[in-house]
Amino acid sequence: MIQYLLRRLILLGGTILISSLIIFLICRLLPGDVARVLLGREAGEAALAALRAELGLDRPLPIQYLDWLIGFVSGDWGMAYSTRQPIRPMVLERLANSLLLAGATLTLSLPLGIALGVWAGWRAGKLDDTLISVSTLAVTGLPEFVTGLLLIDLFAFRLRWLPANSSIRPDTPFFEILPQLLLPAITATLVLLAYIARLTRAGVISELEQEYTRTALLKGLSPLTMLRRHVLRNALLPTITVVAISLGWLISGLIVVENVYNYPGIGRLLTFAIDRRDLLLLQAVAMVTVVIFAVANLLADLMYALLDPRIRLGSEER
Amino acid sequence: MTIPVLTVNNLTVAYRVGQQELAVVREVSLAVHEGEILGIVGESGSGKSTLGLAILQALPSTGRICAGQVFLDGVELTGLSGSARRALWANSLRLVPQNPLAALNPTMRIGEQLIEAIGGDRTTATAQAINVLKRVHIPDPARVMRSYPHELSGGMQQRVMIAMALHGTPRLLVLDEPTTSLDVTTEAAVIDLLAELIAEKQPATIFISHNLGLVARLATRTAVMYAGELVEVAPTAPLFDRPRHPYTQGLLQSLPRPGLRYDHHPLHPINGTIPAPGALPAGCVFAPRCSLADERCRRERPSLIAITEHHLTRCHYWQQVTQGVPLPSVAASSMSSNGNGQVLLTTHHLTKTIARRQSLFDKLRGQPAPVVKALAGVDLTVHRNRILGVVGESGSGKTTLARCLIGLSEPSSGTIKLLDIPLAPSIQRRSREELRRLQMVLQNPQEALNPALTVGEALLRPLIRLGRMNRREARQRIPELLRLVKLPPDYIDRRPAQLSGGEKQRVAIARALATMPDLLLLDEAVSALDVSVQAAVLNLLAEVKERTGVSYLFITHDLAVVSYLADEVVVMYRGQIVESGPVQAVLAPPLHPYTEALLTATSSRGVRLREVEEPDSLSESGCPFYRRCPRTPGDICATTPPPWRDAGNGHRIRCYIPLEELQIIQRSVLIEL
Amino acid sequence: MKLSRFVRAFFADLATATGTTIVILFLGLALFGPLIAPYSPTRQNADAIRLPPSTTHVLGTDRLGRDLFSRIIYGARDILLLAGGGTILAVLSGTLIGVSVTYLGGWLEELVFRIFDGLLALPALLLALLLLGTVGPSRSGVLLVIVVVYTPIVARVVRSVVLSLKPRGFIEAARMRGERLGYILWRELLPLVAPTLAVEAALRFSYAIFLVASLGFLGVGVQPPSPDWGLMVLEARNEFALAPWSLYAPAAAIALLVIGVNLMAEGVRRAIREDVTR
Repeated sequence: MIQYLLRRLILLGGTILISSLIIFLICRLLPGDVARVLLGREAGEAALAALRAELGLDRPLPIQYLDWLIGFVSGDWGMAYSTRQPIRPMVLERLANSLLLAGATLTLSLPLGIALGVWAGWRAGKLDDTLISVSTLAVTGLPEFVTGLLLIDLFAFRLRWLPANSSIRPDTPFFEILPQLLLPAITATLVLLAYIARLTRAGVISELEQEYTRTALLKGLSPLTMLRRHVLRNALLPTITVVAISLGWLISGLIVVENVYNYPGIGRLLTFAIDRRDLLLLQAVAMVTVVIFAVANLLADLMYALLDPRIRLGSEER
Repeated sequence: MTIPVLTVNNLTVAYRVGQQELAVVREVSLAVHEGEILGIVGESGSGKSTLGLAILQALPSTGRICAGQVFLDGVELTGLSGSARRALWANSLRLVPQNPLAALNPTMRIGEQLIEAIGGDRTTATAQAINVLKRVHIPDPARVMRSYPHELSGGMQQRVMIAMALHGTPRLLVLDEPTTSLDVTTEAAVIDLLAELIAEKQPATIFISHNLGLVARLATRTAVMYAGELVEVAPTAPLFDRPRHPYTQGLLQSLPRPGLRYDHHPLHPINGTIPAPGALPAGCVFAPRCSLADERCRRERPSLIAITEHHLTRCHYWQQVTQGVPLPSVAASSMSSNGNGQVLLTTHHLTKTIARRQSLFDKLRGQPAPVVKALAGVDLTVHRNRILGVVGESGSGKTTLARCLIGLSEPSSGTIKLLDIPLAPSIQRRSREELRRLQMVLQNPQEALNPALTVGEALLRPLIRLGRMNRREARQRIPELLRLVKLPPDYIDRRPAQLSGGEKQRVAIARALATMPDLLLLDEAVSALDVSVQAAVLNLLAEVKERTGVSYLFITHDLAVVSYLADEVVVMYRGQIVESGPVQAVLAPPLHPYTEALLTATSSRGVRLREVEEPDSLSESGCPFYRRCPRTPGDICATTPPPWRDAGNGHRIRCYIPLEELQIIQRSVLIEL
Repeated sequence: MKLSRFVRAFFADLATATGTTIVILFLGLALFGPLIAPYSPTRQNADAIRLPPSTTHVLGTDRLGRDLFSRIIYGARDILLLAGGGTILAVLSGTLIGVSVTYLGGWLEELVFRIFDGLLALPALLLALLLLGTVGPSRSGVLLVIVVVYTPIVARVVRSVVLSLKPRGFIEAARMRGERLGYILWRELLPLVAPTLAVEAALRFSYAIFLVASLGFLGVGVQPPSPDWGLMVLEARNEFALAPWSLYAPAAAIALLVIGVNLMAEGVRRAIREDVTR
């Protein structure tokens, strides 16, 4: 197990390193001169050069990259050009908000999606399965800003149950945040829910076709015992992977949702940084997202390994 | 007469395929008594497994019993409620499936799965589980209880399945090809175990198999199934001695039996292929392939008639089915030596090591990566126009050997010489002429042809690439190639999906032969085929050799096939050759103890290997076989490689035991069989 | 049992048919847009600001007096061209890279797929935003984004198919007769990858629409005054009280197209799976 963990960690480190390089390169290929963006059109050549030197932009790219990477790893994320504030506290505060929203979304969509999927798979071919399958199919891939704005229209403007704007302040206590959290969470949940339900259903159906399910059947087990012990455990293995993959979806979704509801998360910060062409901020936000995504994937892999002895013992490789 | 435990009445089972239902088992009636073993033989597509599952009421969701009844001790099973059926499953109905690894839950420990099957109070169930594991001769039950399925060998997994099927007091046991996924020597031990437990527990048993030899050994009565119908049912001995249905007779005549030789006795395959469900002929289902069939057979479906009290057959003309199969005199099978003895290909000390995954710690500590020796110094000679048989079970390195020869994998050391010229190890480095001279037919016909290309295209390419022909010249050659492998000329435009397994393998052979290679490597090329089809392909290989003078390197685990087709044999065990020589000499005493075990595996009194889990990597020293050797090896076997001993006429055995001693013990064993 | 099977088959076919009809409808709008559209999509009309749907303006007008129906029609053109074109390019490049690099194997495969892993470690929309930040918001930028975001995904899918085909007998037979790389890749492998590709392309197309619309909404995609659907939603997001129809029209268009493509993609997947299993 420790072996496995170590191998995964090293692989993960490599992937994050490559991602960081990609992020850095994309950001540095930004057209236009950062110094000019910051100082405006009228700035003199001397002022521009001074700023470039101050920001370290006159050094060769590999040096800049290493410098930034080492800085990032050691916790020195620099100052944002646009707000003249240190980046780290800003990003971390927004990150906390985003994680809160993500947590709420997962709490809603995971149990519901898995339950729907198991139900549909168990009843495959019946009318209720057909309804679940077609409706989840229709909803997957519906952009969050469409569902989000329709939900705002309904719940905020027509029914007046929930606020349309979720620009929460950092010092608000949790139970006061809750109503503001609800609409964004529901919006992000819809798509994720459908996705998880579809894949869980596929997993359950393929488990039901396995030979060892027949073995269990022939032991005379009750349907519930069979479902619990033999079908679910194995069917949920692919679901874990699915959840890990759908975290990418969730992050993409949250970027949109936060912009729909003006929710002060990392997604808002990202669009803000792009708007202002704030290189360092952009890099930091992207890196944080990548690390979170990667760690979530690692956790999913570990969970998978814990549940599947074939992987845990590393014998089924290839 | 006692009341049978199991009675099946006019059972018809259908599968839903797309919008229609296809009957795959039709109007089957049978009865099995307590302690009786009814064998059901048939080729793939005969519906025998479906019949087994239908009897157990465990059909997949697409299958349905359309008509008929199944009675267990007088209780009708098809109409049972869910809970009553579950109770029967828990207590009386049991299945041993073909593939134990697929039938065991991969994420549950063996112990848990066994305890669940035994049911009841957990502590007593645990004690019982350990007992039943001991009962199936598992040496270390406590360890096996803690293991996950994939940590056990195939033979151990199947023992666990047998333990699961035979705890308590089963009434009905269905064995669905229980040894098909196992090696020959393991199969022998598992069949021994089944016979022992059935004798003890006395369930009514249905033994489903495609292997006529196994059925003959285990079953008291045998039913032959063809295209979903029972065509003949009789006590096993009379059925095999005097079959009364042309299909049964055809199956028996397809088998290469001891004493038959490819150059003197062509086999008698059954022409044609089994009809697909939904495309059945109007009259007798076997009529299109039957040599006795006439107008009446094509029009009127025969019923299952009793010719004696116990012998039933579904044939209008059963009296005309010739009695038995004449055995050839052994004297006729003199060694053909039409080859001029010229050496075609040699290998010198060929080795291939495969690196295992290494743990990170060991890597950091600079330990060398653990390796498995797939080949450990193989010396081999193939002569022109001769057939060299390579015999071995899984893990013997026989496939690795073929892949090294053809260049698909590169040997770690050693040389391969073709006509005394060294061959490059990698296929990319070999010249077109060298590629032309050496071709290979692979085991699985289903994967041999690209599903996207027509038969014509598949045959065209070697002619263009290696035969240096242009497209037009190549096209003209194709009808000739199809004729060579006995396929009709209009097959040129067919796609692989439209061919049967045997036809695919013929195309694969035609493709390999297209440019007249000197040596054709056949890696288990007939193993995946049904016996009647296998016979046709063996005949084809014999004929092609006669006509073209090609040599074969014929890899197989099946000694019967080797004794029929090979001129010379090498026996491999864990990457080494342990015995070699002319085929008659190798398959008669004195034998290497491993060859002896292989040769006697088909008999209930044969020699069995010791069951030990062998380590992955082979220690350099000692005999590769000593851990499992049935002939009580000495200490020296573990430490020093055994010498080659010469038994005369080019027959060599690698063993410490003196040849005279081997000869004496083995003579007595073989006489007893 | 039998009835529910019938109901299911019926719904499955109905769903596919509905989806296909929707997609064809939008394709028609995109192709014959100028012939159908009653007004120019960008012409502002101070006399017709925020008009609710009526006979003269079927879907109403927006805060600048532009005809929403005409804007939807021209927008269909944009989104289908961008999403469709991007998908085709991504599938082509993904296949090209996936098939050849995987067949060759070795360090090249390792390198390429490590880079792809690095790309895939960035959530799709994040990568898209980073790229658009670089090249600036534009149509070609959106196209580039789709290609860069989806090429690794397609390549990975293709890779898994090629890996399963590589050890097959017919590929080894081709090697045994010394076939050139090109023949093995394009004549032996590609036709077998094609069914998987068709399913993947249908799926990607649906996600591409999602991506294009989302980028428009975030204001980094197609720029005003283009009649981009996502952009239209963005412009109308504060019109809840004044002209809700200006929000409904583009939102409904996006939802309808996405659902149509999803239903059609599922039909494609099922048809191909049935074809393969036969």
